[in-house]
Amino acid sequence: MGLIKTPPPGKDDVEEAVARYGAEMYGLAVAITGNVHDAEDAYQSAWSNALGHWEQLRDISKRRSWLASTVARSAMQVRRRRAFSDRWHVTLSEAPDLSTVMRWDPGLGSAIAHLSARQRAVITLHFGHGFTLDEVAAILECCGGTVRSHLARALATLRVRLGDERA
Amino acid sequence: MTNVPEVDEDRLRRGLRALTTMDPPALDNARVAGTGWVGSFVVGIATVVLLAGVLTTTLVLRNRDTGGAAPPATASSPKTPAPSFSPQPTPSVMPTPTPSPMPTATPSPTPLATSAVAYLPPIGPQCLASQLEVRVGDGFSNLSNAALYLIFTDRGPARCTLRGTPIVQLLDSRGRTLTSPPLQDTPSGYIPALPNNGVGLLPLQSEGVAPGPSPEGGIRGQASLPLQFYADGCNAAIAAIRIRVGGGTFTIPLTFSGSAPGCQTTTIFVNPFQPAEYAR
Repeated sequence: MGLIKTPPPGKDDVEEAVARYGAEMYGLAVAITGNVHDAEDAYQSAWSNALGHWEQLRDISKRRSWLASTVARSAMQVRRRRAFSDRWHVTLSEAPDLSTVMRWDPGLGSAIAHLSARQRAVITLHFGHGFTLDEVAAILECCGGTVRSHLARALATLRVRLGDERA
Repeated sequence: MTNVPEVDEDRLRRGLRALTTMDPPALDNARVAGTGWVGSFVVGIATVVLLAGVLTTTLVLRNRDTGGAAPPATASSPKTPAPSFSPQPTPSVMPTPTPSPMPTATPSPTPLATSAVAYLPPIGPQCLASQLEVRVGDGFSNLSNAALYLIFTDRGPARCTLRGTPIVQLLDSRGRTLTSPPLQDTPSGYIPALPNNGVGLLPLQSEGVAPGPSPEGGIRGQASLPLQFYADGCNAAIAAIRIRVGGGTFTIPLTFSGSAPGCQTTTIFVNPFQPAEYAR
């Protein structure tokens, strides 16, 4: 009797992961970057990074949070690049933003668009993806207190924005 | 669990969960698969060689055009963002071209602002000042920055090309050159790259005729010169802008007004000529 070896992750493994988590990760990228074009960039480069380190992930059960971490990092990088580039260049065309993308609730999309990228990441991972705050902290590579602080500020901003909407 | 009753958490959950069910874009296989370390190494080496070649060519051409007395390149000068000013361009201003005695690319002896963009070698006839008309086009602004377009129209009999960044000066109401705000040449990443590195203009002689698109993707017969700055500043000292292009000089009255005190110092970024599709 030989030992059963775990097969190395192959193409099917990757394709399965893309099919399983693609939409979820793209949604996270949209939420963090705040527009579709940047989200597509972040999504592509996140998968590229993920595949570069695919074999380093030992625990398959953590794949979802690992991918979320990769996407969040990539999206925030794109967001920073965008902020830097906007200082120097006039934006000539606007990509569809959150209020347009979230056509099922444009008011909420507009309110979320006023949050910082990190705040958006926290509320999306917590409320949208269902991660606990400690898991969110691990995904965003920060401490739990910071995540709770981001969440509190995000909710305070949303309270004001959505309150204005009601008024 | 977070307890903030004022925010409808169910709505938040519903909205954000719906966001995670959007169709993702198809992955770019070539990009996702990567090229491996060998591929990356080859691409890196090729990039370095290419950059070295471009740099050498640029330096050789610059030396040739300036008789070997090329000023040091200032393309990497620090670009300090400055609060800037909101433009109120004089509508339909017609410039007065001042023909130069030598309509060539010879540098003017007057201390005009230096061009940070390398001089581009001519391919095809360059536009002459005598065949150009300049007007102030539209500007636009958002929360953080703004742009103003100067529109160049070919009124001559032949097609010509505008390329690179012209020499630009700001003048006060008495015609004196302003040293502040400083001008910086800055190539914009978003400007469409044209095969000849410039904007090809066709003669536009029929007033009122819709120009239509040119093969370069701009408006037939017109090029624009974008001036870029931050939106919430002002500079009452600026009365006109002087542009040296095609061997001549255009002086265009231009008003930048504002009332906030202490907003005199800022930077204006001058971009290369681009197709006039962005400025009507």
